[in-house]
Amino acid sequence: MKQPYVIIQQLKRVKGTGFFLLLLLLCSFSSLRAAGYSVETVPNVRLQNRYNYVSNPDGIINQSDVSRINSILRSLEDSLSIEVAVVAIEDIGNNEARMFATELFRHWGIGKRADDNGLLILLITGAAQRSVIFETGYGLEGVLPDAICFRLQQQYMIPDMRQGNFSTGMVKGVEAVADYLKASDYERVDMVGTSGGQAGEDFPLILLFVVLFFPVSLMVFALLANSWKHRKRKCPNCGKKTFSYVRTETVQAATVRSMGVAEDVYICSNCGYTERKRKDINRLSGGGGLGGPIILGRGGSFGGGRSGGGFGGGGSFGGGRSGGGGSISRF
Amino acid sequence: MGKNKGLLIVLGIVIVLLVVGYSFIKGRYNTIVTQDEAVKTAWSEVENQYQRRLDLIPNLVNTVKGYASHERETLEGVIEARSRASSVNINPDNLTEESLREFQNAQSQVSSALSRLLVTVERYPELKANQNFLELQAQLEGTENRITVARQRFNEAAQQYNTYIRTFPTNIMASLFGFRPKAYFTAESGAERAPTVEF
Repeated sequence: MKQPYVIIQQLKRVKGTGFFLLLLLLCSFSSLRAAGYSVETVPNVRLQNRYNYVSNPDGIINQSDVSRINSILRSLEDSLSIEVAVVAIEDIGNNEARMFATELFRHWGIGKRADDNGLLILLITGAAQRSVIFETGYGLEGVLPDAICFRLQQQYMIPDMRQGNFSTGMVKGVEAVADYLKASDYERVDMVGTSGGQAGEDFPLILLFVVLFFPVSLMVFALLANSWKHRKRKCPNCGKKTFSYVRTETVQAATVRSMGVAEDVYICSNCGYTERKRKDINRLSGGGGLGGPIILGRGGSFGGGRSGGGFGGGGSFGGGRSGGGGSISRF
Repeated sequence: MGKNKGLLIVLGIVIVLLVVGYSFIKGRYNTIVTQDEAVKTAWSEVENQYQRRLDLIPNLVNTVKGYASHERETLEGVIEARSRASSVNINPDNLTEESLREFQNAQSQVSSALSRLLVTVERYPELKANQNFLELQAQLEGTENRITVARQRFNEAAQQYNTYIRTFPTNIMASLFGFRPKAYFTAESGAERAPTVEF
């Protein structure tokens, strides 16, 4: 943020920079337009507030319709836990529209992780790729098959959108989708997960041998390590071999977030000389056993709300997956 | 006492080596197995989606027949390509280049037969306006997209697996336990790309 400011400060010293600045501004704008959105640059508004369902960076949908769509989709998520994301953008550059929807869905992870019950409604208004696309998560493919997606698009969205009333068309479409899902037997549908049954592996004999000895060898190893630690050492004070490890004291207990500190205490039984050696205690492992206690799941800004954005304020989608289902209506 | 201690140390070293060796082999082996399973899952998804397309064909052919019955040749071409493709199945344990190429050839014949059919349809405005046909076409398009996604994810899984089993020192273990690299889907020729139809 600071850099443009600095540049402006420098430019102010030169005469006639107003024109130059304007040119610069125009250039940056036009290059932004030409490139179009990529999957990464479409703003994920749900990160600010988990009740934002509409990503509308180009202002295609008007404000009152945005809040209307938000309230419809919020009630849908509350009742059926289905996550719907609405995206309205002008241009996606050279990306292929249908694939763009699939990749955006994957990038955001729309839908609850366990159910994959996400739906992406993507509207592209640029003349080159003008279309409405539904991308259904795996868990919605059964209740919202491609033919139904197509029918909903054709009946409720395309007539208005063809006239250029994108905002109205989108509201009607979202209403139709929500009504359809609420009337469907979604709750009773048994979700088809992709669980890969793991069969037992045939271990070669030598590995089996090692497996059998593994617990025993671990115990012996622990015993050896213990006696090694308690061995008599040479006392740095009196020089006799009576100096040994006694106990470990915790200076500061470890937490999930930070490492703790402990001290090993060594005492000489002959002269009473005492020495303390500091050592770190590993952090307590958080749920899931991953390294970071906060960052779980997908990379980047995603992954905070694995279970659907449980934190107040911002949240993300739940990490659902799709496999390219849905339909596209070009108009 | 001293002799005893030396024996203990030797024993300890041997056990440590065993434990380290065991955990090393176990970790690598299990990772290979996990990735191998991931490739197989991705492959079954590919097969599912191609099968889904084959399942759509009878319906599509029947609908088209109702309006364009004298396009016999084109319709038969689709049916024939379908039956040929449904006979080509690959065992996921044997994802070699040849078997994958054979599969891909059979499926691309279905694709080109289908796109020929859809070109023919252009000549029948009533058929093009038929709701049933439009929805079938939407389903077909959705399936083509699913196929693209499934193939892409299969290639990703296969690439991860191949990279893992070909890097040192895993490559020694992989050859020891008989894990072989998997073939990739190759880029599509023009005929195989999904037919796009403007609505």
